Amino acid sequence: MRKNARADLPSDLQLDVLLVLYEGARSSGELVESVTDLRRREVALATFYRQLQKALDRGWVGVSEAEGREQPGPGRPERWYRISPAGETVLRLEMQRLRHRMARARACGLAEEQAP
Amino acid sequence: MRKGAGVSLDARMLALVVALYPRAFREAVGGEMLSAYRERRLRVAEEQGSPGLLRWMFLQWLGALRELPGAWADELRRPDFEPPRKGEPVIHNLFYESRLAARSLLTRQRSFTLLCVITLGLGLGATTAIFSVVHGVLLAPLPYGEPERIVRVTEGRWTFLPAHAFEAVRGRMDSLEVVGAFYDYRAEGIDRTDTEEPERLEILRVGSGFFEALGVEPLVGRTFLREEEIPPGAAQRDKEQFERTTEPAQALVILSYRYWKHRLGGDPDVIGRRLELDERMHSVIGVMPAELGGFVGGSPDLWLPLDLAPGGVNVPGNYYLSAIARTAPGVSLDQARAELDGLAALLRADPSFDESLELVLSPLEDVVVGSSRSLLGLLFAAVGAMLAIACINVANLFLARGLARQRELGLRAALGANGGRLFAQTLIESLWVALAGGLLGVVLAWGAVKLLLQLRPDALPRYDALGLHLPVLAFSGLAVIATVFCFGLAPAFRAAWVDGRQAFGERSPVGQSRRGRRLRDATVGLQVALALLLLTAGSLLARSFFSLHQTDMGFDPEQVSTFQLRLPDYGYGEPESRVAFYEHFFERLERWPSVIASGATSKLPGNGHRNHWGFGIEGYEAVEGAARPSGEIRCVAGRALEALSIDLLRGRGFEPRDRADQQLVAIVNQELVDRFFQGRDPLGVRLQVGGPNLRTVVGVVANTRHDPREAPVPKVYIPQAQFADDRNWDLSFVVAKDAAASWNGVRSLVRATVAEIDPRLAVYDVRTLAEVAAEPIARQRFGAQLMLAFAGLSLLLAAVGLFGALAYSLDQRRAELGVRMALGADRRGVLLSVLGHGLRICGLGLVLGLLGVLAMERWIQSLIHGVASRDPLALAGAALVLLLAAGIASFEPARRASRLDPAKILRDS
Repeated sequence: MRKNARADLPSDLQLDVLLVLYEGARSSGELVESVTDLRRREVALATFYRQLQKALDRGWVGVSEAEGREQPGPGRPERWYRISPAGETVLRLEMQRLRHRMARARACGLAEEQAP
Repeated sequence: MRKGAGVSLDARMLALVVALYPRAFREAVGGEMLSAYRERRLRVAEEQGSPGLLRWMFLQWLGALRELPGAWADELRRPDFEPPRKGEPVIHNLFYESRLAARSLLTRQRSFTLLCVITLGLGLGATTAIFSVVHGVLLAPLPYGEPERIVRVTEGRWTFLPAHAFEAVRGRMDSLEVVGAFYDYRAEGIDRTDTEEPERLEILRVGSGFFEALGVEPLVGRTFLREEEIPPGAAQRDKEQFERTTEPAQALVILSYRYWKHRLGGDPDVIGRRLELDERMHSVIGVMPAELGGFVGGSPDLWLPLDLAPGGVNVPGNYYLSAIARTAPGVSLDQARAELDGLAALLRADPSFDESLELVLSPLEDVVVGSSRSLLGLLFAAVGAMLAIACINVANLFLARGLARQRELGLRAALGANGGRLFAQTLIESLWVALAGGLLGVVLAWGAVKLLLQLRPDALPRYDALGLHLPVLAFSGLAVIATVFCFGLAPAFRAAWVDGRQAFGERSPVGQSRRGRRLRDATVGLQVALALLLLTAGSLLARSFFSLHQTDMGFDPEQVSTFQLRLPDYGYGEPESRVAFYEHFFERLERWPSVIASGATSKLPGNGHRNHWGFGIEGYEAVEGAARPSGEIRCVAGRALEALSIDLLRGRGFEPRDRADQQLVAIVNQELVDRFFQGRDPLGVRLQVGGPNLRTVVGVVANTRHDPREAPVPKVYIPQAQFADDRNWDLSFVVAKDAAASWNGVRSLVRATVAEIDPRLAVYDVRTLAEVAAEPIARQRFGAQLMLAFAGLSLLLAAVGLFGALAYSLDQRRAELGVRMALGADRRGVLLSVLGHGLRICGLGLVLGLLGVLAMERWIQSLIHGVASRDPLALAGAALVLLLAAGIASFEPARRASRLDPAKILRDS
């Protein structure tokens, strides 16, 4: 039996990461910028990277070395993050869940209908 | 990182924090996190400026520190760490086992771990807290040179010495290298008057040899000389005439380090500087070092020379001096005592000394620590017992968990893990639990020490030395190691004996052995016995405290407020001015409707201090061998006896007409009448007391006590108006208020009334009389509170232990109970059988505990008053509470046993 069902769901931050990566692969720095823009507020980097590491461990996000791009400096080559098929599935399920909730919210008048 | 951007200090420091993260995190995303930090930092600085950057940095640092424990928890949950290979160093094995144990405890067994850590944390916390008290009070040496040579010389009955007895000790004792006197009969203050506002300072009057006896050298300057104990012109003083002696013999002063540093700015040229104290110039002759301790005479701001010239308070029969001495090198305490006994015998034969004079020599350490040693010993034994109960509990929890893990351990054994490895893993788990318990214990001890200091600091000597110092933490570390051996070994051995068959469903023969079961029952019985000991000791101390608390002290402390107010010599040097102040003050104060009566007395009743005066009674015929009339003298002003509700038994109280130019009067207490009047009517009899003149007894009042543990002593009350020319008595004020009035309201009235009469005067040390009266039994209350707290915790732990043991036993006896029920045993019988098992264990514990109480009888008796150590109420109460707790703890396992399904059990087995 699953002990904690919530443990298999993505956190808000992971969901934002998956959403951004769904638009296209990003470098680490770009990913932070995009997620910050999406959330419209600063994010604690330690929290961000811990959640990113968990997403990597769960196979929702894949990583590859940059190809055909100029390296920003010496040392380790820049890596690119992209959403994996498992990540896409999780993202779709979460979106479906959110849509369902929005529908309920609209039905009870909590959220307004979108203009046609 | 952008080209040209330097690495800021905060980024470097963040790199250090990231280095504390698990390796997996660092390797996966650590470097990228630091790069992102540097990039983002530049952008935020450009876009938001310094305030925005500071906010952002705060967010980042908070996040980095907050995520650290979580990152480690993630790391422990990761399934991909590899076991060590053959041939790898032992340290790798240990690291692997430690990690395995930590993961097991933190992820799969969190409730178990939490329970064990809390149990051990309580035991270790209490032990560490009490050890910090033991260390601060008993073990840390006094801050003096060769403190073992410092002794106090006191009078056997009255503690204080008359001056001529002190001179005899100082002059005739070869075994004492140096002897010094000081006056701590009551706290004294003085005003510094060369400042804009008079500054009130605490002083202690000391003679030559005081600092030398303590082995303390002045930081700069010198100490007092012997010739400075006699003021100029004292030779002309009439020995029979009482004079004011509150002025220092010489206008000299020694400063405390605190006063020199904070009030005089640490002036290096302070020697010879003049300070005006009570409108008289004093020359500074020395500054004492900071590490003076304050164990002798408190921690005054200044030391002034003691006046030892004959006359004034220095008259035979006035016991008022304290003495401190240092034994000569190579002289033992016994030798010094023998010489002092010989001197006392010589003095008793001298008619100028009291024929019952006793001189006592005590090491300073004994005086400072006093009776705290027994109490602290008992408290330390109590927390030791509590820690033992906690260890037994955790051991039983580990054993019960071992049963649940038989399959896992058996599987590991079947896959090749040898006994040593299983032993090590279980022991390492115990070590983790003990370390976490130790950490929790230190945190709890830190809080407990803070609480102890707030609870009753003055109940213990040297309370300012309490704290979690390095030796205390080292002790806590040793206690952690000891607990690992106490609770970790048995489960570890048990794990080592598991064999591979258990992986396939066979039960361990160890868990089912009768010997093992008996051993477990015996350990739980031991817990009950220890809990009974603690409960009995706690209830006896509590009963003793309440017995003392309810002792009739002869006065009513309820609704009475006390405060100190010193009339300085520079404004109130003349007796008439003091009499006028008191009359005016009390008359003004009693105009307020919330003030019922007000007055002042030279000693508050119930505050444990004593004085002793000899006196003469007209027509008194001394019985052969009986002591001369003596007792305590109270100088009272206003309606102090009424404010204290001391019952007037005969005659009259003091009245405004009892002035210096009228008949001199006195009031005596019933104890004095019983002891020295031999059936005569005391009213109208004249006493020679507090001076050469005779005073007529006009009233008899009820006895009052200083201390509920002591019997009342003879007392003579003298009106201040007729005693004002003796000296400027430092009086303690008492105000009886209306029950409806608030304490703060009365305090405000007092301050307002004083300010109205003389704004220079300061009201200080404002307390309720109930607080003052509670001081002599503060230690009893402190001991009772702590013992009851420990007893309560022990009761809880023992009940949890019994519950755990019965649940464990039930788990092991499932098959047996299933068979019995299948063969016809009814559910009620099973319930009673399990309940009876629990109560039998409790009964065994009660017998053992009772034997323990008998063994500790003398020790406990030395700490209690008014209650017998075999007090049946305390013993029966403790036993009943334990039986009740055992019944409650046994009921749930018994109920579960009675609801077992025999068919299911037989099928499963």
